[in-house]
Amino acid sequence: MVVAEVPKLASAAEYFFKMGVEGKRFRPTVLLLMASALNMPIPQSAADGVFGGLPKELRTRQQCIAEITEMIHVASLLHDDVLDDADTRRGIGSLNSVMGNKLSVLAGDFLLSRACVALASLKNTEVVSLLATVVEHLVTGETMQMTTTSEQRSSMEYYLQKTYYKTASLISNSCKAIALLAGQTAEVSVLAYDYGRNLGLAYQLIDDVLDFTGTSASLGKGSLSDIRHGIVTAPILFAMEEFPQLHEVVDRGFDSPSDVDIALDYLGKSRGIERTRELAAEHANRAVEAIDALPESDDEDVLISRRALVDLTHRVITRTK
Amino acid sequence: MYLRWALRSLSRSRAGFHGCSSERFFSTACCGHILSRNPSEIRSKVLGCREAFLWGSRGLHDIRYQIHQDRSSAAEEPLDPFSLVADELSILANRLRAMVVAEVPKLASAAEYFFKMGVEGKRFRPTVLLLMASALNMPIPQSAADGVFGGLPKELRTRQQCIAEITEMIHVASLLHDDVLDDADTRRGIGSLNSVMGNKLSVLAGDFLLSRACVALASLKNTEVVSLLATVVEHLVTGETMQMTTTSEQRSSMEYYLQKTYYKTASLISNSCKAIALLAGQTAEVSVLAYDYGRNLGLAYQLIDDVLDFTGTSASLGKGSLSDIRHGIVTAPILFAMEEFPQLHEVVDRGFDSPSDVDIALDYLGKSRGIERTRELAAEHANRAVEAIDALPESDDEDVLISRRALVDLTHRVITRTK
Repeated sequence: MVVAEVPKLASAAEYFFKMGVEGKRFRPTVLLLMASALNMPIPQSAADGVFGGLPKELRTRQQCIAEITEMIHVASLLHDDVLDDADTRRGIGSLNSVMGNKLSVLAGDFLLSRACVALASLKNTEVVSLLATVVEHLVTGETMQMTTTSEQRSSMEYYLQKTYYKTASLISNSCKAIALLAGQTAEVSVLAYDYGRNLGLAYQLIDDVLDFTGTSASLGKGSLSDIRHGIVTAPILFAMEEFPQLHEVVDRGFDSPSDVDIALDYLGKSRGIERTRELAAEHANRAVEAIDALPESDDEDVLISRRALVDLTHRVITRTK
Repeated sequence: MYLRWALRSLSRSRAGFHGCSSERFFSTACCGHILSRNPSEIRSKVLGCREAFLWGSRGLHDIRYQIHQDRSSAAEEPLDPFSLVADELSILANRLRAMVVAEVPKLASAAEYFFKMGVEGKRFRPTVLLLMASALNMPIPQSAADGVFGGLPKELRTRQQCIAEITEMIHVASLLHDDVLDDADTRRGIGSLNSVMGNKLSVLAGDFLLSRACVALASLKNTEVVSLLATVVEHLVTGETMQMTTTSEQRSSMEYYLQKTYYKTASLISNSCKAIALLAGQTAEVSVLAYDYGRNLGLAYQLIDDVLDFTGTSASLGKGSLSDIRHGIVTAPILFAMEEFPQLHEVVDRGFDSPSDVDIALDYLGKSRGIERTRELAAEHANRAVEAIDALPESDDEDVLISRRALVDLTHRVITRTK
């Protein structure tokens, strides 16, 4: 789907596939399992999106959602890379660095346009709407992160909203799209959405914890990278509730390593890490509840897939990397 | 003159209703203060876009009434395509602003840029699309199941206006992204935080507009239209990529150049014209005619643009003369000149980093028929556009005929403009 006429774009596509392998293809896994978990006779056929009940065609369309989701995800990563390039190559005006930026923008646009065309081919305008909203959320989340005021940086509410936009919206809305394509009722679609949303939030919260507690080897991206980039995450926000004096340190930004140490010190004294884990577990539980609330089925594949989705919530909570 | 006076008085009265001129509207854009600004704005935000349109559509009805009253003088006076739809364009601009309001203030600033761009460009594309909508306002032989809302003209018009808005959003999104490429070029080595924020914000704002366009597209509930405009996005990307990564052989090829020009310029307008026709439930034949008009108009426009880049003055162009060739972009006049003077190939292959190479090329261009042949090609496309309009099914509705004349008039303006 991403074969490009132009060779340079093809290289960007290669990056895309490397990313897919690196990330254990978490999102597509969730989506395909969700598709299986919802593989039940539907009480009423929705006119839009159900192809005369042909299971193979439905499955293909749901797989398409998974592909589209990955394209959107990688497009957003490529566009985010533009900032990093500009930062790290400030003052170095080589053609390569310029091409890097250009190519990132174009490759991201290319993937987005292919995603749009693929979306259109599904002939389900509600699904188009859902996934277009995801792109909007990704942009909003990234902008929120770029332009926080100091007050917003200290707000748990703002942080969770931003996290929803940046991380959970994609998976929640694509889960919902999976359900819609299957012609499921609104109630079931909402359950699928809830699962994705809570799973995504749980994932990100644990990610925040691991950024403090993980080792470089296991994380791959290095420990404390959030705080060093001045990004204030849940553990610190919780710690700030217990130690108001931490506000001042946070407001200074974290350019100075000693400020990082001070913050870590407070964090260690506080229950920040524990409370973040607790919040993550809470979201994981809600995800499980959503699966449990799905209409009953005695189909073996359906039951296995649902168990797998529940199992995923446990893995998200207990992972160490 | 009565027609134009009628339109102006209508927009003046509407401006009075709003409490400020439409120019001020554009400049105060989205700073998050819209709600506190003006009661009518609050109303349109609270009630939503549909109500705002209905209010506006009554205005449109007034225009039509006045047109019918004054048929004879309307037929005699010189036609200004832009003023025919000026009022509707104001409605569109307001709706567009509401559609791109962002939660985050910085994104809102990018939207403001968006409107400045709209004002600068004379809103050419939306004008074409609204005129096309009027030109196709005929009873349809068979109702297409998809997209025709029980024949309610007001609803159809709203949907067609939506196409115009979507088209503008897609267009500006692509400009914002292109600016990132230019920013990277012109600010190379200057790494201020502002320029960094500018790049990333431009990318994000472009993505934002694109996503809003997709949501708006989806709301039309016409999957063929969604498909058409999604393809446009792909074409824009392909065209830009073609321009960035040409081999030397491709740079010298007229065929490659025309293909790239179609992708970059004509695809948007041709496919949105087609979408207008589809929404109106028109037959496939009529939809193709609408597409042909847009395609030929777009190509003619770009070809004249190429000529003006050589012949225009800095003052009239705004972007400076010879900017294409100085950026190493080889356009139609040079390509034609290369057919007459093969030695020009060598100069072109060198790129145009050296100003003396630019001079050499200009010299050959002057000796050749490059400029004339480009104008001829543009005129050819303009004629095909006119043919497409002439081939539309007959109608005796005055508005339809006026709009079609306006569309024909636009092709002449595109060919004869000097800036």
